Amino acid sequence: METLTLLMTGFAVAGTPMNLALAAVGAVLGTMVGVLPGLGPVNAVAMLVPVVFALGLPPESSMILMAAIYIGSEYGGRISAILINVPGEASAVMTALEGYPLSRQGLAGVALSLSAWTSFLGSVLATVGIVLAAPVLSRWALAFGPVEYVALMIFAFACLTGLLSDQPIKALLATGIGLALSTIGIDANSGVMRYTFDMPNLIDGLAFSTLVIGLFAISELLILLQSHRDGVSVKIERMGRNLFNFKEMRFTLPAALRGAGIGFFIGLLPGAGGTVASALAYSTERKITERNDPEGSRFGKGDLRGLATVEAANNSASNSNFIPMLTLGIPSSGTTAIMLGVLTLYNLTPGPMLFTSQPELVWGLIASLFIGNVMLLAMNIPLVGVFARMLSVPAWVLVPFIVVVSAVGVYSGKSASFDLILMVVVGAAAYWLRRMQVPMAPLILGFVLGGILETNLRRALSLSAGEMQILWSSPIAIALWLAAAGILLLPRLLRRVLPPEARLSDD
Amino acid sequence: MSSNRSLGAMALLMAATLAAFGWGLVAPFAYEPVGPRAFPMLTAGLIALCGVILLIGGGNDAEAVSHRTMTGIVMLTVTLLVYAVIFERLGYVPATFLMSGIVARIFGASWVQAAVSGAVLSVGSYLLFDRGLDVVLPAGILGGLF
Repeated sequence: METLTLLMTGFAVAGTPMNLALAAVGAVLGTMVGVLPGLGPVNAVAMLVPVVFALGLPPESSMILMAAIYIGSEYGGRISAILINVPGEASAVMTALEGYPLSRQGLAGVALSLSAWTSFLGSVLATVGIVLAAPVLSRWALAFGPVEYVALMIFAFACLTGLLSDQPIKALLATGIGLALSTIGIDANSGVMRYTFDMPNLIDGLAFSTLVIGLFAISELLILLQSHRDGVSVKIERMGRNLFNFKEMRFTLPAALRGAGIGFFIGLLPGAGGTVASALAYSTERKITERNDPEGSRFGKGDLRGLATVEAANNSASNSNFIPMLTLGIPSSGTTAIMLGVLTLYNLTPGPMLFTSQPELVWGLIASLFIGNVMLLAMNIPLVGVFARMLSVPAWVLVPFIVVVSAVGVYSGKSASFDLILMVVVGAAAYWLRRMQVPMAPLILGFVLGGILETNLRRALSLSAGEMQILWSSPIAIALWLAAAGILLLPRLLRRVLPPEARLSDD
Repeated sequence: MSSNRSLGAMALLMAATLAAFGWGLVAPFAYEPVGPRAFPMLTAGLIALCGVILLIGGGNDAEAVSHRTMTGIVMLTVTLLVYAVIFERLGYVPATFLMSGIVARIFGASWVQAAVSGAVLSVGSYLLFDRGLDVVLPAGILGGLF
């Protein structure tokens, strides 16, 4: 009952005209960036960071906008995967496996509408799951002091290092770089200037928006150039029948429901997201089909069940991802890490307290997930042709546009050329790191959580007058330390289960 | 050199820089057992550890990038850097026109396409952001024009 009241509060927040408009804008924008090959939600959300502050949006509105972009891009990612076999983002790789063969057979319209429907199904089921699970998970949040926070942060880093990456050392290095960057600026406790090199622009530390835009938007352009090939003409197969029929829906429903279930639980794991979920759902469904219905299996040649399960899993996971993010402050992807960073810019500490201190924000966000998904379904079935046309926007129009939005965003923060130069330098460095296969999500998480980790570490050690033992003095802290150790061993197990496509994603 | 080795070497260099410039970070008056120096030193230690492991492990050669792509990457980076520097001095519209034109050329546009898209983008975005959304952008040398 209490949950229902809270959910109603959430709908009241999400249902204000401004928040509805933001969800709609986010859904359109998200679908568009999802369609564009090479541009993922993380780039769009990064570019939006300064915008939400320039517009003076309250925290719940910025979260609603960013969440709509995030889930919208999952809908968009499948369009380019199905039509031209180019996944717009990592989690759509599995979609292309079944979707592209279908569109080669003249069933593009069916594949697109069916995947929009199963995406919707997955998302909504996961959101229902969030509503049921979140209050339970948030209940034990009250017992968190500095000691527990330190252990929680370590657990968060362990999650991103161990689960997300096939090269844990590089993820650890990325975390270290993020932590190091977070120390730049004046130390709030002692007033000592750290790594400012007498530059007044660095006294407040690195601006979050400058850093994320450099890391994600600018480095992405350099990567885009690397993969850019002149004269690739986009040939879209004919659409065929526009909507799936009832028989196809019934045929794929069990697969979609299984996918949604798998996606939901994978998304709950801090550190694992849509990419892992879609890969796992795909291989599960393939095994089930080949056992029960070996003659009917068209896996690899365009099986509707494969497409349905992947899309349901992928969207279910990106929605249930909000549970570890909201209850523990552990994001599973670059996108949710940026959203957490934005919360800290509003002076909100990500973590267990959020549910009790900011119920309107949390429940508004959850309610907006429902609203956003309905909007996305309503938009995606009739307008798929319009979004597909985004595929023919040439890079020479797109790239200068991204540079301009990035530069204006960074400049609007402090009106300083310094930040523009910093943005480019960060972008070039991030490009090099990404070529060396260093993941960006742990880096941004290190930067976001670095300050909170240091403050709590120092606070805990002040309580104990410097005794290190206090760090593992409470049951919750011990459990988190153990879980952190466990999670570092888990990937070795997961790697045996998952196909190689389910590797690291930055989106 | 393998890419993991270069990454490891870079990490060690970074850790050394952090340690060298962080060692002097001592608060004149300490109210707490852990001062401003400990955390940066821990971070430097973590980065150095990763660096050593990568340096010893080696391996993982990054896929070679063609000469033409590398030139493009350098050109794009330099263009963006120059854009950042002239953004305020030259003003938003001319700087954006130049940047946009050159970037469009790098991404394969013809001269005419580059010039037209640059003009539309620079003037259009100026009107949108500066006039429409109240983001103050530097007027620069064309100050009187808009």
